[in-house]
Formats: sequence, structure tokens, C-alpha cells
Amino acid sequence: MHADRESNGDMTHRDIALLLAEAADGVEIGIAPTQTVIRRGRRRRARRWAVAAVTALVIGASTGALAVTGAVGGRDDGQVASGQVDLTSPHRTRLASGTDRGREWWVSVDVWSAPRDEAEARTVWEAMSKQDGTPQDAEQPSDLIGTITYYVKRTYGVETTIVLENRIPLRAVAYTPDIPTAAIPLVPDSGGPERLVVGQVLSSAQDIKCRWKDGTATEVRRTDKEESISADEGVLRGVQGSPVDMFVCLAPEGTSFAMTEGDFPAS
Amino acid sequence: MGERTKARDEEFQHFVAGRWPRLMRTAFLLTGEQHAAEDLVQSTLEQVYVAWRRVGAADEPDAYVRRVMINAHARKHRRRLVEFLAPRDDSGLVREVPDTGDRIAQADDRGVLLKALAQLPPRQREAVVLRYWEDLTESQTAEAMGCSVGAVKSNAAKGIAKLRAIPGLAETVTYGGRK
Repeated sequence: MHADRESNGDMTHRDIALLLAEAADGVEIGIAPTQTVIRRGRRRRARRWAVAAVTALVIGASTGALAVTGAVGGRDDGQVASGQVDLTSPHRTRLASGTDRGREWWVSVDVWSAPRDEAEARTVWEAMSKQDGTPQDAEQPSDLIGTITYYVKRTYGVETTIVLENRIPLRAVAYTPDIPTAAIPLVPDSGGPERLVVGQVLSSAQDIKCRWKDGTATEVRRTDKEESISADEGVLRGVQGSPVDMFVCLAPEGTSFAMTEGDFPAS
Repeated sequence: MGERTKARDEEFQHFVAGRWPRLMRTAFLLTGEQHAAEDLVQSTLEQVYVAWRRVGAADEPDAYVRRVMINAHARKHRRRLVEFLAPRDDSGLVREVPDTGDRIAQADDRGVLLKALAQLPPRQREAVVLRYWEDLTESQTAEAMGCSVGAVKSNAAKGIAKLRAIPGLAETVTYGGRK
């Protein structure tokens, strides 16, 4: 059904459409900067072509080396053989789920594999563009090389939103006493409170706790499968395609996130 | 430059010239600000140019352009994990607010609506603009936003409800804000 056929309340959808049209007229249209767009577009395209040419050389060289040594397959990350890596879609892991006021919610993470060279980077970049979008801190495909990109998605009822993105080196994940943590509202577009906590930790992490502003805390338990969680207990689990583990915890109603804490024994 | 490339560039120029006004209006409703709208349209069209050989030959280049624009707009509002580690204000998310003074915005019908739109969360704003300004169907809107029809319904309904609840906007409608 088209928007203008709906009507409800004092202000009809048709009224809204008319107001939008009027507001849109407030912009100064100006002359389309066609030449600037084409010039910049060419620059973008040229950058891709330059990347492609270099990649062809690199692939040629490495193919030769592999033929000599007989070292076939196997990504550097040791997770899957080279031929089995799907660069055109992310690994998806559902981290946690629950029910809030009768609405089902869950948190999942899409992890895009780390491209090893520029050809793979272009493949990942194009696939990302069509699905989750490219990461904000990457200007061009080659920026993705050696890094995984993950997008955390929160689904609440029928609404799924990418709430968080991050790009991390595939192998050089350094020890850090900090726990990168994001606190967001559980309910979309509610403006708070920030009850839902998502964080990343090294696999050696232990005794993670989410502390809340009301002074209480929730312990995070390690698991190997998606589980429902409540304010009583959070979950920590490995993430397919990622060098880091992730945890989710939920603040009790009426309070919100304060801090996380945990132990990181040397592994 | 080859003849074919030249012809494609000319075709793209015609496309840009023809679509520019409408894209600017849509971008203005999405961003609420002149320069942000220009930046959004320009970067969208640059990406379209790169893929023009494929897009120009497609049945619906406009659908592709909308998808690119909405994706670019949505990206602006996505948070990176590092942002949570940096000091930030209490509101957390960056909000787009029209660059008009309060006094003018209050007096101006356009200002009232733009301000109301800017107060909507990005996904609700996108749904409202695509449904009620672009007059897309729910499924076309879902395609442009990269989400389900259910999410479009939910976002559009919430957005409209919030607009209806803004007193300044209701007055604009009631007392002849529109011609």
C-alpha cells in the first residue's frame, strides 16, 4: 500500500508528504557538479585498477613459490584451508538472546574474513558494500588487508540494527588490560538506558564481570553455544572467524552500565 | 579516451543532471543541512560512477542510487568500538541538527519539520523520507534500507507517530503551513 492512501489521526500521511515536499524545497539545488563527480569517480576507479594490477603480480609470484615448495592451502590464520574461505559473506555467530517485555531480542556478530592481498580485499570490499557496508575507518579495499571487520547486530522484535563495528588485526591482537566494551540501549531508538553490554576479550580472559551503576554486578559465564541470558548472568563465547572472543551481558531494569572487569592470565 | 567510455560518461552526465535536484532534496531531508546534503549526494554519485557500466545498463539505476545513498547515510550513524573508549558526551550518538537558529526554526514551517526530522533516529528518518517523500512502496523502501518490510513498517510508524506528537508541527499543518 502506498503511503498516501493511509490515514490516521489529525495529521494524515498525505499531510506529512506535503510537509516533506515543502521542507525539501528549502534546499538550494545549485548546478550539478558533474565534472567534479566524474573526476573523483575516476580517481576511485583508478585506485581500484592500480590495486588490481599489483595484485596480479603478487599472485603470480606466490603461485610459483607454492608450486616449488608444495605448500598447498591453509590460510595464515590456520582456521580453514585457502580454497574454503568464503570472502563474499561473513561468518555469523549469535552471541546471546533473551526476552524483554514479551519481545524477543538477540545479538549476533558478522565477521568478515581478513583478506590477505589486494585481490581478496577487493572481493571482500564489494561484498561488504552490498551487505553490511564498508567500515568507516577504511578508505579503500587495501585498508582491509590483514584485518577482520565485524559488525554487531541487535535484533529487537522485527528490527535489526547494526549497532557496532570494529576492525582488528587478525593476528596481532596485543594483550591489553582494558576490555573494549560498548553499552547500548536494549530497545532501539529509546535513547537509553544503556543496559546491553557487548565486549571483546582475548580467549585467555577469565572472570569477566559487568558492573552496573546501582552497584550490582553480573558475572559472565563462558559457553560454546548461543544461550538466552538474563540480568543474572552474561555469556562469553568464541566467535567464528575472529581472533577475539565476545561477551554480552544485560543490566537489570532500572540501571545501566558502569564498567567491566576481568582477569587476563598469561597464556 | 575511447568512444565507448566517452559515450558512457556522457550518459552518466545526463543521469546526474537529471537526478541532481531530487537527490539533493532527499539528502536534505535525511541530513537536515545544505552542505551535508551536497556531500552525501556527491559521494553517492562518485560511487555510482565507478559502477556505472553495470548500473547504467540496469533496469532501475535509481534503486541502486538510493541504496548507495541510504547506506552512506546509515554509515555516518554507526558507532565504532573505539568511540566507546574515547570520552564522549552523555548523548552518545552524534545527532544531526539543522544549522538554523532556534528563532528562525520556530518561525519557519520548513524549520519546524526539519528540526522534527532531525530528532528522529536515523532509521526512522530514512523510512519516513523514503515512504512519504520518495513515495516508495514498503518493499522498495526495504530494498533501499537493506532491511525487512516489517522493519520498514515499524520504523515508518514510529517516525510518523513522533512527528505527529510534535506540537510545532501539528500547528504547521493546522494553521496553513502548507500551501
